[in-house]
Amino acid sequence: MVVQARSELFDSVESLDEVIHQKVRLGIMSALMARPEADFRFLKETLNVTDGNLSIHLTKLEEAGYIQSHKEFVRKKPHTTYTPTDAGRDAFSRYLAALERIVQAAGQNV
Amino acid sequence: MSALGASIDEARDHLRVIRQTMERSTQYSTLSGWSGILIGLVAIVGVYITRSMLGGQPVAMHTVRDAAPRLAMLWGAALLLAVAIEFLYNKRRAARVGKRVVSRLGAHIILAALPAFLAGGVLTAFFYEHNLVPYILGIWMLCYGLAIAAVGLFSVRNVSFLGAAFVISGAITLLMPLTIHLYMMALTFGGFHIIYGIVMARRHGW
Repeated sequence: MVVQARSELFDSVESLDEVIHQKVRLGIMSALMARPEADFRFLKETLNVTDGNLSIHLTKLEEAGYIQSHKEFVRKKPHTTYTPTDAGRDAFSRYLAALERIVQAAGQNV
Repeated sequence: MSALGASIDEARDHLRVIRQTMERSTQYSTLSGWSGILIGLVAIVGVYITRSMLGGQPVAMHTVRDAAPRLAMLWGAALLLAVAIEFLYNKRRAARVGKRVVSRLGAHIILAALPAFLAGGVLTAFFYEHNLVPYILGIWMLCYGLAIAAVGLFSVRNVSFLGAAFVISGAITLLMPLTIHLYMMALTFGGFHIIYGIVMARRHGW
């Protein structure tokens, strides 16, 4: 049983989505799961990161197809909002499930 | 620590990040523009009724003394109404994203604000006992500002700015003639809340 639990634990660790498995990107996806959309300023304030850092990670998530951006002009200023894609929601759900499996397997006296 | 152990710790840490970020996102998004505006209107109505209770007279020691019990009930009711408005809007917006309105973060926020509110209550009783009731309005602004500033530690900068505005206004009010105090109530509890509600709504949605 211990051997099986260790095996499940290794499998779960190996299955973690590398795109989401980074704190800022994880924070972005978590925030977008909690509200239908979020703009750059909201994400920056919520996650307490710099503009450059946030931009890099948003680009990575967008390239992975997990979020999409919507750019518009509000009073002549660019305003970008982000929403999760279906693929992003699925990936986040799988990632969350993998984390929970890891913690549960760890609890089985591994 | 083994690599496996590090992965387990990392998994727990990432679960914590998910929970806290989702709570913070929900809490943040439940600071509704409409609740700020409604609370501001409640305050302005309270000021109007206060003036009526004082017979249109300005705030002064002799005009407030006799009306003090009714004024206490009026502003106690206004406070309860404001809390109810905020709670109902929080509940509605939390439900929209499938979250509970009462969360660990919400409990921390209440605990952070509680000391300032308790201090306000104690000072209100003290001022009443010592016939200093007219001066309580500035104290209310100070205590409310301190409570909001404490909440701002768990929220966005705008909330901290609102708290600071109340604290500064309370200090200024206490230095001004008594006749101005009621108008400062309208400006702060009324005007500041309405402006805050509009700013939050335009920035983050209604």
